[in-house]
Amino acid sequence: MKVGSGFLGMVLVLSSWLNAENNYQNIDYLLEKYKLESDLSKITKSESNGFVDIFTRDDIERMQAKTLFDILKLFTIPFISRTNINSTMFIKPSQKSMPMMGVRIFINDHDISASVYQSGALICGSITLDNIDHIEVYRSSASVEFGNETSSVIIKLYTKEPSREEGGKIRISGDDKGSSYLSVYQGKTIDKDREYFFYANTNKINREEYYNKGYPLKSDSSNSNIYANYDYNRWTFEYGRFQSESDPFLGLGTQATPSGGDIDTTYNYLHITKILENDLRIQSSVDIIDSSQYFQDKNGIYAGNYGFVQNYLLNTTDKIVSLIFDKTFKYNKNSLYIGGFYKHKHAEVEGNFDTKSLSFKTHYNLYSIYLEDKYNFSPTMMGIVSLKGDYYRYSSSEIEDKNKYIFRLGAIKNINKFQIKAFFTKTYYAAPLISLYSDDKNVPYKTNSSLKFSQPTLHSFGIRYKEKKNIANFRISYIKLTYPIAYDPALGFINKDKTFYVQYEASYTHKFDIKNRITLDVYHGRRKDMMEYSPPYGGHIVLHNSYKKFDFFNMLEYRASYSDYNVNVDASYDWTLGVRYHYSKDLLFGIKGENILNKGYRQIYKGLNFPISINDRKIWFNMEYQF
Amino acid sequence: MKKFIVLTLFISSLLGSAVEIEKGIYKTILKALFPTKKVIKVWSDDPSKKDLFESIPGIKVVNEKKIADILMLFNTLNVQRNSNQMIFANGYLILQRNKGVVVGGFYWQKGRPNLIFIKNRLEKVGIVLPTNLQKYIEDIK
Repeated sequence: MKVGSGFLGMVLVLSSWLNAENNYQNIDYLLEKYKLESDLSKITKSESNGFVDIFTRDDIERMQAKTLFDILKLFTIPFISRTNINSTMFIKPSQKSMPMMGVRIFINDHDISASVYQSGALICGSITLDNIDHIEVYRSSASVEFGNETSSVIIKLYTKEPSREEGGKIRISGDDKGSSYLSVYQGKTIDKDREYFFYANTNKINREEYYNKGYPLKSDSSNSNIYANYDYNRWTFEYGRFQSESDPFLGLGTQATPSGGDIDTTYNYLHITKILENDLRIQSSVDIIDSSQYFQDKNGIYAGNYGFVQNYLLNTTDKIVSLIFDKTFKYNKNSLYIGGFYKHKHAEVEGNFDTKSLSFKTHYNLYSIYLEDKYNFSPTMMGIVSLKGDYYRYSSSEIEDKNKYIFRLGAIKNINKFQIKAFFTKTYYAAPLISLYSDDKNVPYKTNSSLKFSQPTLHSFGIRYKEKKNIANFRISYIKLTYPIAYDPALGFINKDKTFYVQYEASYTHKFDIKNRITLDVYHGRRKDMMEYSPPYGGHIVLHNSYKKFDFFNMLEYRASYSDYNVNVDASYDWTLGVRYHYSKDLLFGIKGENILNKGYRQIYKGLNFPISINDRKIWFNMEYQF
Repeated sequence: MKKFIVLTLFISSLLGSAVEIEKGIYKTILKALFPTKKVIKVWSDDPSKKDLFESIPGIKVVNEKKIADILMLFNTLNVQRNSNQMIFANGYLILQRNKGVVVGGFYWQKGRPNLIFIKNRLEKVGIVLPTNLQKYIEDIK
């Protein structure tokens, strides 16, 4: 096969090294193995919360990942793409997209939330990773143990632990398109009771420019991230900030012919955690999200009841105040987790649409109580029951208050080298505020205050085989979705007929030794109506290798062909190759080629008669120095 | 995060494989520091490490500090010792606060476990490390 022959050649060369006797002296080998076996993910991961995939610190570093988007490239179901306004979107195979409420992102225990759009997943692509120790991805989750708003996919990012840093790092990267990336962090323990971590990043990402009917489609962005934490005794104070300025890409025009515009987002949060002597944990946080979306399109942008406009400006401010408490009780064979939270979600919306304007404020309060009991029937068998009650109280009398419940049953059984997991989850996705409420003009969207929340019911089964050098996984999920939400320009937000979806995943990892391994995965998703609006199946081959002072990361991603809006897309092959050279223990240089074959996944957009690659063909140069 | 610190105290019970490797590392360190001793008497300020040390052949954990050959410090920033006793730091801050007296350290820094032996302390007690540990000797004042 011609396509990917370069990748396969690389696989053969690297494989020939794998059987070579390793050069580690005994103590070097022990220290390296100790580092891997002591990874913090081994402490934080929770097998009972669903199907969990881990990206360790070592994985993230070897991948030379800069943003969460780089990690999301390894996702199977859902996989990632980008929206017409250059933000990250999640797609399940064969589906057009996945509801953004279906994915939640946490930084430590802080939920990156939102009022207007309900989920912070929109900004996730710009979250940078140099302050992140490891990432856990939970699927078929009920979100109960994470004690927050509901979702079926949870992405948990854990920041680096100061007591493991006792120093800092500076990282500088740039690519052949003129992008730049600079990050610096420092973490220290001050004494037995106090420690701190500080991180700052600034980056400018230049993207390939396309043209549609003579109009440039630009998607360059400038971003900055700040994260800081301070621990004192049993108090933790965390501050985070994400700021992003992006070109409009295709914009919101019906013909995707933008003549100007930009999207600015600033997300600030403060999160305080106190663990009392009796291990009751109390958390309080404040989130403020400012978003400004400005689009120009002479061929018209649809703005609800205002009809078509050429200038579209929508400013939103979200303010979220949260108070969360939880505690775990352990007795005999039970581990009982109990918690509750209160959230006040406030939204301010202002807009200008040519000569017309819009301004309104609204809010709602969300009260939640939840419990989860894990019962160990035997040392090899665990049963899980989760219950959650969420009570939505809206300030607008137009929207009916809602009481929603989540129920989940699970079982985990270990049989020698096999682990079997089965979950039944009855949950819901809260409708975004922007779909429920606007002012009486119904601008910029035709809202629907009687819109019902989508209600997925998940049946999931997984089996894992694990021994010293081999791990194999197979997972299948059947999802019934009642009241799916869609947007129809004529009718506005509506609930559609119930539907179902089936997804299959299989993966196999072989570890040659502690630094060399190969992973293969394949996935498939099928809609009830058998339509294929995105690749119905795909897979990855991922190689992690080391040779003397060099580390190699190879990934070939395959996604099947598909068509939508009368545009056909051939099968895609996205090859990423990263090489790191450890000049010394503290200084390394890296080079990474992305979408090397220039045959990576291309997304079809409404109003555009050609697809656009989500990853540009690029070469990144990287330097990291630890101090 | 603080929760990690709380959890780290119990890390040995959570990470069985890591504990086995940790045991191998301490065995290498202690055998290198006491090459001729048949039984090495170890005192530790962390009770949770007692099982780990006792499972190493040739190691005896003692409760009385003054009869120990080596003091393994995991928590104590400043410790009193006999002049013939060695001190080994098992934390970055402990190493920094006791540079003048510790013979070496095994600790996390820059996201990785580090092992060092301090040159002038080794010379003072007349220890020559085996070849595979020589590269871990540092000249720290």
